Amino acid sequence: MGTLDIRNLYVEIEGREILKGIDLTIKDKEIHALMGPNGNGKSTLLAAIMGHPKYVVTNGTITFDGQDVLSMSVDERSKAGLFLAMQYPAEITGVTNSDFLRACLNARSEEPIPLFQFIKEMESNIKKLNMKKDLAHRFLNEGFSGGERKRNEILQMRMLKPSIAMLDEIDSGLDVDAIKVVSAGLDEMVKESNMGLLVVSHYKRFYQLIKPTHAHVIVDGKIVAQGDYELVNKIDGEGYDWLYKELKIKPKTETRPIVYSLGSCAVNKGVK
Amino acid sequence: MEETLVLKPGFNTYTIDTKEDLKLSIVGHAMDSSLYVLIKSAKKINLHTLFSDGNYHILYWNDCDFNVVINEANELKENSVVKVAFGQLSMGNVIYDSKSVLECPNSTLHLKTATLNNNDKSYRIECINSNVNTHVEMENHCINTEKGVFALEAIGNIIKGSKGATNFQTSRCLTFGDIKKANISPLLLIDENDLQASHAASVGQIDENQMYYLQSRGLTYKEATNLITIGYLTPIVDFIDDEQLKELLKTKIEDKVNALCLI
Repeated sequence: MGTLDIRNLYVEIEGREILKGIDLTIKDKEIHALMGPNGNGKSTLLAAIMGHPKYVVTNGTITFDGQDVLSMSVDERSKAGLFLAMQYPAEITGVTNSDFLRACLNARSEEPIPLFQFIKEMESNIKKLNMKKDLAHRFLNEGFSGGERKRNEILQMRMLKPSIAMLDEIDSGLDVDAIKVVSAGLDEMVKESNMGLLVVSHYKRFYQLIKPTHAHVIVDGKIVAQGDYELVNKIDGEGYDWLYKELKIKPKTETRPIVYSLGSCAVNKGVK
Repeated sequence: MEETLVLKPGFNTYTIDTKEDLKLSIVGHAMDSSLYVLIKSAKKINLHTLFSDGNYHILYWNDCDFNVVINEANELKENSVVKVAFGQLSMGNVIYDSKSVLECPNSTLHLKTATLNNNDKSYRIECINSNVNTHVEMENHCINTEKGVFALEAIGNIIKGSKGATNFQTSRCLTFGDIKKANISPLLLIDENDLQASHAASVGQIDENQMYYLQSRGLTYKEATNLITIGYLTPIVDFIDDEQLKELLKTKIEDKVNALCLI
């Protein structure tokens, strides 16, 4: 059981409106691909569902099995069964991976998890994900390579067993073999524990392996096209241009700050 | 009162429990040795250490809640690899003045402090490279509570002629109250051009992204804060190789953090 229902969602960050009326329903066992050009709101949607403090919901509702998600704190959302594998997970010095995971597991059950059971489970997952053994004793994400971080996110997902998992570009930084390992692990969780998935990725290879049941394209904060795996294929082959033409829309382009040159070195000037 | 402690190979312990001023000399020569010094009660301590030819780990743990003045002078002779750590969760006002001199070629010093401060603490730590191939690494971590006032002067000093010397320092202070009550001054005094040196210092409140990350895994605000705070201080216990002692100190840190870092 697990239905995540998003209705007419508007989200802004630092006063800029990013999402402009999103409707989306994810049920268990469903695999949803979230596509669209960069800077148009995919990651914002995931962060808003998880409750990132910088993302302000100005309108709309999110419910999970009938519970009002927007009134929950971030940790309550996690305990309710939502999980977000982040694109840039934070580094935390002094906190080992295993201490952290144990604290997370203990936070969601009345009785603390027996140490032996925890170690067994963690070791089997580390092995399944082809991760280095010492990872359990290293500080959380500190000095991890890009690929190690992503695998560590998946490790956490496997240990916490969410009802709905959201993956924000989890495949970037992973090599071909690692992508296979991660997708096999995802497939197992969807089949065994009926997990639902909401996935943001730009790579055909990853989508081929996890086979989304639904696909959505976000352009300028709105879902402009929906379909199934066929839509993923079409976008991968032809890009987004056909969609812009058909719907007569324009994507939002990322704006970068403009750097002005001072023309000469300020220190030099001072010396003269 | 004056005492001399000659280190033996392996694990040594020493307890300071006095109401008088104490002058303690610690000597280590040609061995691998570790020492745990527990400060139970003291007013003024003058520490003088002398190391040569060997690996030495020392952890000073200030466990008393009185006001204490600690002066430390470390002398590193040839081929010594020394790790010195100073940890405290003390509820007293403490002045800690530490000066280490790497006098002879090929010596290495790793100096580390971990402090949970709810009172008034003032540190001055200076590490001097005064010969070729001498290496210094200094790390200071402090958690300053709402009531605490913390001042740290961290100095790396490289004397002319100390070719191939390295001197790196990092000081971090996590504050729960007004950040102006914590002050770190990192200094590098360099009189040589064949060397590597760096300093880094930060004073600030808990990072919002770290909190969000931990909370997104189901930890409450308080649980997440505790985990970060404890993680800030506990690496110091790794300076000593005794498992039982490590666990004991970890528990002490956890209990104190739980009691003091309420938000």
